[in-house]
Amino acid sequence: MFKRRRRHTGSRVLAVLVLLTLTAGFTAACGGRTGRDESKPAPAKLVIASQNYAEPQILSEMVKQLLEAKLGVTVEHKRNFQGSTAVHQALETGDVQMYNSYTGTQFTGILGMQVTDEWKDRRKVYEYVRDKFHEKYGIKVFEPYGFNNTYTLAVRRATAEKLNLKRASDLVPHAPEMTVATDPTFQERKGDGYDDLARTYGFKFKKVAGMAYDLMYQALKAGDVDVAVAYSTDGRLPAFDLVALEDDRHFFPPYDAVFFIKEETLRQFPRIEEIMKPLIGAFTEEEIAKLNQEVDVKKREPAEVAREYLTQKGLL
Amino acid sequence: MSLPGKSVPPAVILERVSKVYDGSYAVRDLSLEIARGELVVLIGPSGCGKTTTLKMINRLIEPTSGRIYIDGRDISTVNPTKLRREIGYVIQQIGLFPHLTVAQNIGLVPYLRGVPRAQREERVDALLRLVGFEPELYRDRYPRELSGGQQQRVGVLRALAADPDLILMDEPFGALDPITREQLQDELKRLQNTFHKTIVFVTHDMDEALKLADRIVLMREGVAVQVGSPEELLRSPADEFVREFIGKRRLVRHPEEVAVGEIMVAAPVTGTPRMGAAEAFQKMQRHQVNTLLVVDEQGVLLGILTLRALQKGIREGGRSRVEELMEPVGATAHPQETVLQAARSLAANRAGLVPVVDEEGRLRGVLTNASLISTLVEVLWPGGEENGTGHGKGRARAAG
Amino acid sequence: MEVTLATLWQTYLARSDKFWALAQEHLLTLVVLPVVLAALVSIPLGILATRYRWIQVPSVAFANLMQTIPSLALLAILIALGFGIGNKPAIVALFLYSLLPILRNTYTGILNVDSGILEAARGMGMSAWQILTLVEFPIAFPVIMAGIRTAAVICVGLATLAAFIGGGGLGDFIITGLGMANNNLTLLGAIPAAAMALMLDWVLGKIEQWLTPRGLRL
Repeated sequence: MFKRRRRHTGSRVLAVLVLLTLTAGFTAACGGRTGRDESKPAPAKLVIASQNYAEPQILSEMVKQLLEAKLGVTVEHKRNFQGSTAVHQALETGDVQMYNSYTGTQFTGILGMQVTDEWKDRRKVYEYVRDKFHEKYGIKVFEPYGFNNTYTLAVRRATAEKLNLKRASDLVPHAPEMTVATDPTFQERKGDGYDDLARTYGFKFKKVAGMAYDLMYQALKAGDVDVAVAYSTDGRLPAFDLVALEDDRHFFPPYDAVFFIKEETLRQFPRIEEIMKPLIGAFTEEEIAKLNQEVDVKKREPAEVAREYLTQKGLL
Repeated sequence: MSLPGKSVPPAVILERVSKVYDGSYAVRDLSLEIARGELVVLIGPSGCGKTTTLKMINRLIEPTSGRIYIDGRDISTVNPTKLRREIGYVIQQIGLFPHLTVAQNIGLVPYLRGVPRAQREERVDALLRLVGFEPELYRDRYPRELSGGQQQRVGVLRALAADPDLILMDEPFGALDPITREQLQDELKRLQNTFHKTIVFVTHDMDEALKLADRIVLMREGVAVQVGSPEELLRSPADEFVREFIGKRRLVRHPEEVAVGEIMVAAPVTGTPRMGAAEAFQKMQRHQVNTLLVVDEQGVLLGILTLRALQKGIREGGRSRVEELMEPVGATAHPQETVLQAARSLAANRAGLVPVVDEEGRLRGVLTNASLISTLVEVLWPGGEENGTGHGKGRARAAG
Repeated sequence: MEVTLATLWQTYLARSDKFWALAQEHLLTLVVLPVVLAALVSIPLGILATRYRWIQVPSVAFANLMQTIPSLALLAILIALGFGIGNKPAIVALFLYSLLPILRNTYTGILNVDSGILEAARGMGMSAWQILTLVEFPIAFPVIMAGIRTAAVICVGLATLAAFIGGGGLGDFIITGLGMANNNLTLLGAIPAAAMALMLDWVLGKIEQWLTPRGLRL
C-alpha cells in the first residue's frame, strides 16, 4: 500500500506536467502564431467567429445566413471565443475570415490606444479603427451596425433606489462595501479596463469578482454581487430589472458594433459588401437589446433569432 | 506443581456450555473445571470447537447456552471489556500493535487499567528481563524490528503485564518455525513453573500438548471426547478417534505387544567368510563396531566375529581369514518374536547382541543392548526428547 | 505571442499584488478550506462506513457520483441549486470532489487493519472507542493522509475553474489570458497552479511522514 502511494505521487506529478503542457499548447494554438499565410488557396467555405455571448452570435448568424443565401457559399460559425482579442487572433492565424466586434474594444485592445478626451467621438474612433485595421492587418471594417454596446455599471433597482444611485460616481462612497462582477477580460483591459475605470472614478470596491460573462447578470440579480460591469445592450438588463448607471465621467470609449472581414476574402467575394448593406446602420440599442433578450432570457438559439429577424425584414 | 485441593474453588468452570452457529453445534454441552495454576490444553482437528471454547471464556464469543464461571463469578454478569482486562490473551497472529513500541505494547493493558506510568515502566522492564530481553535494547523497538519469535515473546509478556490469574492462548506458537516454537514452549514452561498461572491453551499439535499440558481436553465436533493427563491419554485412549489423533507412534504399548522387527537395527555391519583379518579389522574400525556378523552370498548367518577373537588371531598369526576366526552363532531372535522374549536372549548373551534371522536363517537385523534400551524407552514413553527430570512427572511413573 | 521568462516576469511584476492575492485565495479558500471540510465529513463517514453497511453503500456511491460529474457541469448545477455565484459554489464543488479520495482511503485504511491486531485489541479488553482511536486510526493514518493529499492535488487543478463563476483564484489569470489571447497571463496562472499542486503534495507528504508513528514508517 505504501509503495502504491509513492507511485501515485509520481503519476500526480506527471498529471500536473501534462496539464501544464496542455495549457501551454492550448494558448499557443489560440494565438501563438503570428503573420498571415498569403499563399493559402481560396477557402472552400468561409468561417465567421464570435465571442461567447448572445449579441455577436446573433450578428454572426445573420451574416452567415445572408451569405449562404445570397452568395451560395457555406459559412461556418465558430462560437465561444473567450474575448475580442481571441477572436482577432483567430482571424490572424488564417483559419477565420470574418468576425463581429466593437470599435472600442479593438481600439484599446488590439490597437493599444489610450482613451483620452479626444476619443469620445464615435465617428472618430470608428475611422481610426477602420484605417488602422486596413493598414496593419489588411482587414476591412464595415460601417457600424448602428448601435453602441458600451460597458455600463449596473445595479439592482432596489439598490439604486435605496442608495439613490443614478450616475456611476454615485457609487463611490458605497464601493468599499460592494462586490463588483466583471467578465474575465475586463480586469486586464488597458485603457478601458477595471484599473483605469477605478482610477478615473476613485472606486475602491471590496472585491472584484471575475466570472463568465453570462453569469454576471444572474449573480447581480441573486444578490451574490452588488454591481456588474454589464454590456449596455444586454437583454437581461431590462429583463432582470437592473439599472444601468450613467457613465458621467465619460470614461468608456464608444463601442460601435462593426463587421470585420479580411480584405483578401472581400476581393474573392466582392458581392459581400452589397449583401451586407441592409444590416448597416439597421439597429438601435433597443432593437438589438430585444434580440439579445430572446437568446439570454427566452433561451432561444441565436440562429433562430437571426433567421426570424431576417425573414421579418424580407432579407431572406 | 500445585494441583487442586478440594478446598480451593476451580479457576474456571464451564457448565454445559454450547455454541450454535446456523443450527449446528460448534460446541456441544461442554462441562469442564479448570483448577487454579493448571495448564489445560484444548486440542482437536480444525473445526472441533476448541477456539470457540477458548473465546467464550473471555466473551469474544457468547455461548448459546450454559454458564461459565471465573473465580466463582458468572462471567455473563461481568462487563466484557473489564473481564478481558483481567485475562491474558495470546493469539497465533501475535497481533502486536505496529505503531507502538515494545514497551507500549506490553504496558497497554496496565495503561487501560490506569496503572501509573512509572509503575508500568518498571513492570515492563521486569517482564523484558524475564525472557532475556535487555530493556535498554528492546524497550523502544517497534514490532517490525523483531523476529517472529521475539514478537511472540512480547505477545506473551503483554498477556502477563497486568499479572492476570488466567491466560488464554490460542495456538500461540502455531506460526513459528519448529526450533523457535520449541524455545518458546520451553520458556512458557519455565514461566509457568515460576508463576503458576491458570492457562487455557489451544493447539492442534499433539507434541505441544503432550509437552505443556497438565490436562488435555481432546475435542471433536464440539464435544470433549476425552479429558485427562497426557499419560492417561497415551495409555488408555478412549476410542479409535483418540488413538488415531494421538498417533500410533506416540501411544504407550506394552513390551509384550512390540515385535522385534519393529525395533531392531535393520542394517547391521556384516562380513564374509573369505574376508581377510586385516580387511575385517578395517571394517570394524570404519563402522565403529566390535562385532561383525558373517553371512554368505545368500545372506545366511554363518557366525559372529568379535574384535577380541580377531585381535587374538592377528596376534597369534596363522589363521588369517574370517571363517577361521569367527565364533558359532548362539542365540538368535525372530522378527515376529516379542521384545520381551528377545530381551531374555539378550541378557543371556555375552556379546551383548542378538542377531535377528528369519526362517531360512538369513540375517534380518540385530538387537543390541543399547538399541533395545533406547527403543524401549521411546516406545514406552513417546515424545521422549524431554530434558530435565523436573518436568518428567508422569514419565517416571510410566517407565517404572 | 512570444513567451519568455522575461515576458512572464514582466507580466508578473505588472500585477504582483493581484498575483499574491489570487494565489492566497487559491490555496486557502479553494483548496485548504474545502479539503479540510471534506476531511471533517469523510473521515467520520469512512469510519462509520466500516461499521455499518447501510452507510457504506450510499456514501461511497454518492462520493463516486460526485467525481463523475464534469467539473464545469457541477458548478452550473450548484448555481442552479441556489448556491449563488462566486466563492460559495466553488467551495462546495471542491468539497464534493474532495469527499471521495478521503472517504475511500479512510474506509480502506481502517478496513485493512490486520484482523489479528483487532482480535488482540478486543481480547485485551479495549473498548470499541479505544480500538478506533488507539489502534485503527493510527494504523490507517498514513492511508487517510494519502487520500487528503490526493484530494488537495485534485483541488488545486479544479480550483482554476472557479474563475468562471467568480470564485477567484489563479484561474482568473488563466481564463483572462485565454480571452485576451495573452499566453503570458495564462501561464502566470497555470504555472503557479501546477507548482502549488507539487508543493502541496510535497508538504503534505512531509506532514504525513512527520505524523506517522515511527513503527509504521517504511
